[in-house]
Amino acid sequence: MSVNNPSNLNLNLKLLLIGNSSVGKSSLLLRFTDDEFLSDEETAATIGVDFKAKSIEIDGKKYKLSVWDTAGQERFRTLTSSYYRGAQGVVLVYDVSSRQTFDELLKWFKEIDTYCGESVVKMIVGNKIDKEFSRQVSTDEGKTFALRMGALFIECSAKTKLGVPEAFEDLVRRILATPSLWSKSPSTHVRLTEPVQLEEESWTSSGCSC
Amino acid sequence: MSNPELESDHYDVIVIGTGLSESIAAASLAKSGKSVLHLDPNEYYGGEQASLTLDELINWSNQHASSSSSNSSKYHIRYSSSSTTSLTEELEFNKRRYSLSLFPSILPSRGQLIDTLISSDVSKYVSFRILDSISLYTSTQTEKEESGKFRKVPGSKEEIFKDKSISLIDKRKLMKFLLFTAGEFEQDDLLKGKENQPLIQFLQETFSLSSSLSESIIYAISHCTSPQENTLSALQRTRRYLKSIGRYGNNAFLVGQYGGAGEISQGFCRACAVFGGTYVLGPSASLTSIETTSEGVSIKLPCHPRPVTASHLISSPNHLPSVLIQRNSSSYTNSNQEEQFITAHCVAITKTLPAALRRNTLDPDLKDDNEEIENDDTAVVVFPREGDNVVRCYVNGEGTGSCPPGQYIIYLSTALSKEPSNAKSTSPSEMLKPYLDKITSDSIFESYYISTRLSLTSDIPESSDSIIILKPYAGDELLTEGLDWEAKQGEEAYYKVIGKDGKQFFEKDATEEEELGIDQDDL
Repeated sequence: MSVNNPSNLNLNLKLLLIGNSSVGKSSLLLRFTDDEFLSDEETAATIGVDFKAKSIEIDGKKYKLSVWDTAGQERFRTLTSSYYRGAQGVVLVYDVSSRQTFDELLKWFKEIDTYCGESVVKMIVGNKIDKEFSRQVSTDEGKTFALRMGALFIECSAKTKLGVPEAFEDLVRRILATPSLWSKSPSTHVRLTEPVQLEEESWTSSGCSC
Repeated sequence: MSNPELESDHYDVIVIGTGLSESIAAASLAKSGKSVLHLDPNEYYGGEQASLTLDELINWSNQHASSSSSNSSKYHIRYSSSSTTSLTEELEFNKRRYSLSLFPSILPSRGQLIDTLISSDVSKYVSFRILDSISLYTSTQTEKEESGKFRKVPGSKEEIFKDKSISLIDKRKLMKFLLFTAGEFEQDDLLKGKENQPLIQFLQETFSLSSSLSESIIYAISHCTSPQENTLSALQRTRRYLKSIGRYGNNAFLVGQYGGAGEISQGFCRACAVFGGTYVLGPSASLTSIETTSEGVSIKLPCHPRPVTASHLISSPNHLPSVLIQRNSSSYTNSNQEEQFITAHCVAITKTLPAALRRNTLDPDLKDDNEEIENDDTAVVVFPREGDNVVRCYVNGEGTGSCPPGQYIIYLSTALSKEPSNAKSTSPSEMLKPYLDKITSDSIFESYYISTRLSLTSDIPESSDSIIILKPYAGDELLTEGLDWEAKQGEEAYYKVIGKDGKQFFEKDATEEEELGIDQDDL
């Protein structure tokens, strides 16, 4: 049952957004999935952002992304370990006009090391390049740090959309190029039934897929 | 931003503790539109239901090593006599890959928690699999040594028909009993006057079931602690388990991924956050003061410069200063009977397949497949003990995501006599190690502890209407009953805040129904 080849399927990928409060995670999410822009103040007031789904096409193949937002649990650093489970890609967001949000990326890398699998693909995104006049972190500095942390790097603006689709596309390409994210590697002697769907009374006495 | 403070000085509800019942209450209240501040002085989510990594379990164990349980509050769930073996290099390296449950439990496919998971949509955050098997250990003390074998107990009607070890006549008796138990037996003449009989007597006299079949029913279908359990309560519980069979598969029970209860609690916390709840964990969430006011409660917290007020406060008893809980307790203790439930626990890890999970190569079901025999990944194994409470074992393999590949987590527990003096005389390891040895001969980690739970015949006295205290599970059937108990507590707390005429627990509003429809198409 294990999926070894991504080209076989319409794949579902789980991507996470993390980073300090007010760096524009929710704005980035909304820009990417709905092509809308809400300012920090507006998104802070928008409750109920859990995750958003979006399909993207890469080299003629369709992939279904679910991109998860922190639901405010980043504020006191109380994201649940379950938030991180099963993620293939993590987007670490900072605000180019706030050095502190860049400096504190290290803490978020620590969380990833603790809760995610080793091969999870990390991408550092410097957001708010529309605020060029108040920039506190240079592009080179961001690039150098990303290189050191083994992460992809891009700068973007959720406000102007510049760099946003590219960020997610780069991330997905790297995930597709990381085979260890695909092999589920169950030991051969173990019977693994599929997880049950709680909503449905799906099981009938005649059929069992395994 | 390094030291954020709360965004408000007032919340509708403050919830303390991120155990399952507290988390369900928090999520349902946030969903209904209440502003919720959810605190936990622990660094981890889950409270009494937490799933811990190996290093967290060792820390936890070190805090509860004392053999006398502390009496800081008489309503605590108390843990004592805990010990662990030390970590090998390999365990040290992998310590964060384990999810070890402080509340090892399986979920009946019908019941309060399943309903709540579905109505709240928290089911999207947690994943479940059908429990692979339930086995009974039968010891045979022939010749020189004691040996025993594990016998899988058929779960469904189909499995009973296929089982060649049961004679045709026994099958008929068994089916008659199962049919009776699945129905409205309360008014049935077969039960009249026998409600308080020990279950074993009822099975053998009223249904003429053999002692071996009775044993299978008592331990592996009804999940009783003792064959002496009162017939009515055992049958009512059994009915729920029987109705659970077939909903999602051949077994009545589901196994939660990544340690179960703790992961489910986290799911409800996530839902609460999505509906606007605020989360603070660890020392900055540890109350420095709490007082009741005319409008509710006022607390002080390290993470906020001013007092924080709320109309209601919901907490499990162990997070509140005893003075708040016990204000009226002198009259209370006299008029109410308390019962103590003392349980010995073991959590062990092994790298070899426990025999109880091995699928018999002669199993005709598997013979037609040319595929390799696939063994179970999860199992409940029951050790009946002559004249004593049952020892229960629950095994989680790699498929549960709670341990590295090729390993198994083994939970053992047994209810001790309710007299505390007896409990002190034996250590949990002396008591459970012999049973661990029957499951596996080479564990790489072992941990033991005692839990003491108090049952209260009435609500815990509350010093003020604005303080709602959740009752921890107290009983000997935690494995199969604990999760639904927690869910029930969460719902009760919700209605204490909202009132019976308010919005329904996890009521969906119209726009949400529409959105759900769209989402379904989209995914």
